Amino acid sequence: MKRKYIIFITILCFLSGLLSVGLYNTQKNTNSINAYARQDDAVFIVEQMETRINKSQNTLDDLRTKILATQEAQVKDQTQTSTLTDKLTSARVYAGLTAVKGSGLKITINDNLSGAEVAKKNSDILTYRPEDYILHDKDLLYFFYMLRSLGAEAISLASEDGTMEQRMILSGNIRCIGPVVLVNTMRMAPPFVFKVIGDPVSLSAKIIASEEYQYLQQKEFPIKIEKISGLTIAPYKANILSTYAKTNNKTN
Amino acid sequence: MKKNLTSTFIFSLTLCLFFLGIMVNIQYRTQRTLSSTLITQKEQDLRSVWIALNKQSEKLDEEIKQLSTQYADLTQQSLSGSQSIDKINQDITSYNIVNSTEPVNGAGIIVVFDDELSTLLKSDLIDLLNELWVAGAEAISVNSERINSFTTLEQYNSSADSYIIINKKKLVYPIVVKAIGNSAALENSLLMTNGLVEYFNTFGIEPTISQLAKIELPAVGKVEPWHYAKQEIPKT
Repeated sequence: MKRKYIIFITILCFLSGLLSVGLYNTQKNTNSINAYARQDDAVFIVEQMETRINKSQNTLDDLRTKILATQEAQVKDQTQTSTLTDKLTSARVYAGLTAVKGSGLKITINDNLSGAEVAKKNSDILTYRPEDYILHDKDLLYFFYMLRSLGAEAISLASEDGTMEQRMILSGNIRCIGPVVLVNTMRMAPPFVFKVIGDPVSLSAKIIASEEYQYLQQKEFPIKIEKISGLTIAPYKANILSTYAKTNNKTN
Repeated sequence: MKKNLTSTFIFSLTLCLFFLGIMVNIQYRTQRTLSSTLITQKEQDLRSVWIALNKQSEKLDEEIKQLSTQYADLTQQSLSGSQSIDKINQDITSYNIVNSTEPVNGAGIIVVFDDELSTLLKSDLIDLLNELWVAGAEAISVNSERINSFTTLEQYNSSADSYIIINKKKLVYPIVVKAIGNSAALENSLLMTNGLVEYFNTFGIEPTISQLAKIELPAVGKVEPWHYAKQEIPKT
């Protein structure tokens, strides 16, 4: 009996030892990567570019707000009816260029961390497939299109910390380059948060019944749906003007 | 004696499993963090990210330049008291193009799926739309439907039939996707190695793509009013 226990404990200690070595090596590699990361030009350039884009987006948003305010003031000065400014404001709101507020849902989707842990314990290095437990760009893309099809009035996507919240306008796009998920070209990491404005009760019921939700559930990705009464969604801050598409009375 | 041994065993086992669990957790989180950190990406991936960001930055600079000029003109007009109604109408039209409420024309590409036997799925169509938006498409239509923020896409599947439903109507073959934008960039984005067309080909789906100097797209038939989202007035 005693011998059996000892064998069992020995196996567990051996496994713990293996993992400790793996963990030590990973940490060591991470530290050594960090040590020369500052000298890595490519990383530096990408980070600089991200900061620059963020700054440019804020400048653009600020300019749009100032232009609208000036136009509204000018039309009022000219004692015109408010129809024109109403039309302009409404077109901007529909285009996603203003922040919007209303009742809706906050949906948080994360990688299947617990499933990965169990799979790692129960399988060997050859059969363990980490990609089965992480969210892919396509999972988010199909979920986003499903939200649109269900009649969501405004949608945004962000990492859980809320930085770089991306308003998903008509041309909103999600893709990956390697393991990096890009939303409207901005880098994001899980957990991902969709903010959706629309009828919270009906939307939530339809989402739960959708095949995209069922698929994520089946793959055991944790999804949390919260109904929120005063949800604010950030405006789209990137470029929007068309250079190729012209109206029919203004052909190329 | 035996009871004492069992308790020791359970205690040791619990301790071992506890530490094992913690280590597995730390290892997973470290790996996950590493996979989304820039420093661990392949040089080729970093280059692709940089190219995408660079394009985005150029477009932003262009629009900032345009809007700065517009703002300066507006301020000047305010001072001189001249009219700006025309400019407001122009702006409304620009936003209507973005909102798909204005018929448009321009250079672009046409992608045609005419083989009904190689069924195009809803997910394929979403992939195609996404790829075209990424490549800079400014307006897209699928058959006679101009795509807008309220376009609904569904998949119908039965033992006898399978098709896409767009805005509650069956999408019939030939499926014609028209996109206005830089035609070379749009076509290249679909035809690149490991790109979408290559992916489609593995399922026997073989679209034909043509670049055209002028494509015409209709406006959306009806704009759904919003009932829940209200404009948040910026604090000045």
